[in-house]
Amino acid sequence: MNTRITLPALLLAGAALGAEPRVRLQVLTTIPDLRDIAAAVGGDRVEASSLLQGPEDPHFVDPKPTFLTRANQADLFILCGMELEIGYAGRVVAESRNPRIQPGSSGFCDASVQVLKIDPAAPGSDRSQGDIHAAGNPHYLLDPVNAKRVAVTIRDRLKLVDPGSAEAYDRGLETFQRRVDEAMFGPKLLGQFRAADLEELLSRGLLLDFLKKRKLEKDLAGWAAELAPLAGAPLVDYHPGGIRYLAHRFHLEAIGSVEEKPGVSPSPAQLARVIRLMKERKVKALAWARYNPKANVDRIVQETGATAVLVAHQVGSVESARDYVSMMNANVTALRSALGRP
Amino acid sequence: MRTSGTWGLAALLLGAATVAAQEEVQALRQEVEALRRKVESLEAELKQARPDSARELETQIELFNLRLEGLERRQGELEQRPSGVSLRLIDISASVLVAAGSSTVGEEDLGLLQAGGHDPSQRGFTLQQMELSLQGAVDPYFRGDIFVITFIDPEGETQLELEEAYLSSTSLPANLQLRAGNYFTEFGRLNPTHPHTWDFVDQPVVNGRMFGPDGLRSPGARLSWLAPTPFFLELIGGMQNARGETVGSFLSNDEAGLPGGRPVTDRSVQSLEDLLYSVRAATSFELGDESTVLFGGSALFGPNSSGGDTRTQIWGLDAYYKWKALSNDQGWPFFTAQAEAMWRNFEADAFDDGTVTFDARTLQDRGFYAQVVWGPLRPWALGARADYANGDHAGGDPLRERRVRLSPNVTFYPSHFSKVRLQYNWDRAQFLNDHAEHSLWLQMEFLFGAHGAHTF
Repeated sequence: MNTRITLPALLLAGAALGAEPRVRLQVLTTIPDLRDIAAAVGGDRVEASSLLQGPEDPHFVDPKPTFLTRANQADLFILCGMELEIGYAGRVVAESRNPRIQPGSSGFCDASVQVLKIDPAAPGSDRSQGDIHAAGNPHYLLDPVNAKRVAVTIRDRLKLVDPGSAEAYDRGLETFQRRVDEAMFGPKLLGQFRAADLEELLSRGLLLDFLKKRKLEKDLAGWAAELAPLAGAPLVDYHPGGIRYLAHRFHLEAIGSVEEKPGVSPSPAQLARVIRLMKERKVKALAWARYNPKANVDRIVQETGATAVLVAHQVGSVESARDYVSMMNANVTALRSALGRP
Repeated sequence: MRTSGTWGLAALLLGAATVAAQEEVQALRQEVEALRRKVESLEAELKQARPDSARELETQIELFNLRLEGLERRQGELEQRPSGVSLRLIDISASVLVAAGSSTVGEEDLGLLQAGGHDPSQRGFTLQQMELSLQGAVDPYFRGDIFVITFIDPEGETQLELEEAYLSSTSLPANLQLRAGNYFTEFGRLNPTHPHTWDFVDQPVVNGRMFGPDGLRSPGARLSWLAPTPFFLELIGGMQNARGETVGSFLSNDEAGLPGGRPVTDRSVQSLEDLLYSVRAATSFELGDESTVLFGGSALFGPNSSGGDTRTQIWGLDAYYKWKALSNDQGWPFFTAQAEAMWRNFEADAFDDGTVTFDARTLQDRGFYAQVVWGPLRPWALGARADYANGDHAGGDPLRERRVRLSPNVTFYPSHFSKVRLQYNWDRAQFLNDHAEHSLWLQMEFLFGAHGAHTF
């Protein structure tokens, strides 16, 4: 029988190929943001790649057969978690024939374990409320504080998988955190205050008053300088997604979503409600991602006079979002120009 | 490729997260206490401070108070969370397929046209199936999958089938995966999938002919190997019991007769040659960012029950193409094309009971289906399928004679978890004198429970 002859031969071939030595740690992530953070922390010790590409909608992903092949060769698998990858990641990991990345192994990393979460589903929620994530809103990476926390989680995991390069990973984390902090507040304030304190002041809308009282407002730069003057401004998003984390950090007010229930297309009545709400509250910005239906966005913008802000939902989503910091740059600039116009 | 993705991992993480939250509350309490003391001492210091250092102290106090508030808020959030560790044991989900429709073919012949055990095959309503799936991690080495089906047959009787029950290894070395239990044989693309994942109301003609009404499944074990290549290459080899109504073409005990009209010969398992052997190779490539192709070849070798030492071989080739826009609206727009061709050599034994005489001969059957599905705009999908099957020396056997079927359909997806489908079948069957027949079916599906992973 064919099976009896071929299988032992294949076993040998497999063992021979599997034994090939590897120089750089192979890190596989689901979404490109995680790839970018892993590459920043891991530096030249790792080779990071992502299953998804920038423009893709992370909610609707087909588990392509090549995902199995790539997962098979990974030393560390990092996912966003909070059920974002529920449609494919579990299967990809289970079928990868890779014991290193099975749940519970050091090579399986849920990036969400240390992040600050918002929007948990109410107890007793079910799918009549749409395609909800029971664990909360998983688009947490649009809060730069969470990007830093994820970098810590990834650093810890890299050290576990590759203890020999521990110091390099510590340095990589430090560099990444400093880059995010400076992009957020500029270098001057960071010499005088802890980033965590500035972040707390920012998210509570108190940063500008705090600095003005001490005549330090000129020292504020970066994303905080762009958005802190707009604290309290209302905005609406299409899918209740990442913009809520961004709004939370910069004390903007996400007052509603075009999709009343996540993943469920808005009815004409819901569209009318959103338009009325936006007019009443004089909302200047409608945040949307490139995979949301543009016709609805155009209609709302036309009727309300708000600006449609195309949010880079992940690294690579738009051309200017080459890495995490440039993605946030693009988002902050776009929000600033929409919310800040007269 | 089989549905088997589930979520033991989420369970473990949830448990770990809860424990971590309790530890965090503990740490926060200590941190809050330390900060309170710090603020108090700073305030005392401030009272005696000179004006130039007072300003610095005030800032410090303000920031410490801010931190304190942040920590207290976080502590409150964590304490409100339920503290019990919840472990995810089995993911349960259920799907129901119901159909309604009619045909120009009378009910007595409709069952022969609609050869699938879960196809709508009567005028009026059909409960095609209720499928219950139980999936989860068994331990660090295995995952378990169970699929139980119940349906109401045309006589109105409720039937129960254990469709699949198997375990799969997760941590064998050398890129191997073992599966053991009762499972659908990985032959081609359609056979190992469940009806609620199909793009059409009924199963292709050729599948019904080769594998019988329920698809090819049987207790057994198989080993699969994922090649450590830059592209996807999987090789599968397995052995299963060859006997029973779900192993059509092999040791079938179908009293309605075997291919070629031979009666069933009772054959017991004497040696390893009396088991069913299956092999499959599949490879997949991505063409650019938006297209994926998959090619596969499968073969089956086993005994058949027309005689004491007669055997059957089935060969199959399959291809699948999917295009999906990189930036898409919940998966739309998309286009898929899928085709499978199969060949069967069935060694039919000589038979003579005085009134009926058959010579020993190898009966050859072949057939294919080719289908396309196009989703131009969410939530709509348009499909079309062509079926062809034929056999040599078919002499009046409706399941071997020439058959052509064309099936356009349209599907509406209210959400990820439900669908409504309308399908028209144009049929020309030799046993119905090649007269064009028409059927129209409306199908609905709903699925609820754990969100299983998709297959490709």
